[in-house]
Amino acid sequence: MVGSGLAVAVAQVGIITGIFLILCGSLAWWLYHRESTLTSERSDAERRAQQLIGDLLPTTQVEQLAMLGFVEVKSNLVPGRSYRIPRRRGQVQVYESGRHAGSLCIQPTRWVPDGDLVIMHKLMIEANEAEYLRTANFFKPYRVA
Amino acid sequence: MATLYVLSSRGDRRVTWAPHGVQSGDPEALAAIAEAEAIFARERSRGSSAFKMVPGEPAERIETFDRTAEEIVIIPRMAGG
Repeated sequence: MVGSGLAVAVAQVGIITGIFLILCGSLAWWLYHRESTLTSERSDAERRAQQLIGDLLPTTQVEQLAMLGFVEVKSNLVPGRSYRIPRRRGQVQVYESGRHAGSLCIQPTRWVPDGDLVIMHKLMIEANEAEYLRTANFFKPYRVA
Repeated sequence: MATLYVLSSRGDRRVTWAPHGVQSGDPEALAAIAEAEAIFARERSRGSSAFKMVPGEPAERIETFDRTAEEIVIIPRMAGG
């Protein structure tokens, strides 16, 4: 009687453990599949965004982006100021009279590929600079004393 | 051809229409521009910004759909990081 009771208990533990392992395995598979799908979608989006850069930006800016890693856009509000928009997502650098004056942190509320980010920054600076500056967080440059 | 670009996580979505077709009343062109206008209105209601682009000129922010524009780009709302 004791032996059969023990066997039943062991079997129950085994069944529960097996179900647990199956559930964990299913969850892991789902997460992996979701992540690889997302990665694939984002890769496709990045490719489209790079093509869009070629469609919307003037040739000089496309070349600047490829060669220097940024697009420089002059300020319409502050004389002598320009903004350097990086090719990959990151802060926009502010230059005044050729000197690094700080950086701006501003991003879309939804993820977009890096190429689209370049276009977004350029459009906002050219056509809505005041709001762009109001929205962005400004960081002063770090200078070694 | 005129184009409306909507930037999103899937890359850009494009809607194109023939301005001459719109002027001449071509049903296909009218349907396309109507779709573009509907997308424009929906995205604006979500807080997106719209810009009209003319080659060789700075971009111009627009609040309403411009039927004469050759290129309109809609971007998601931006926030300070």
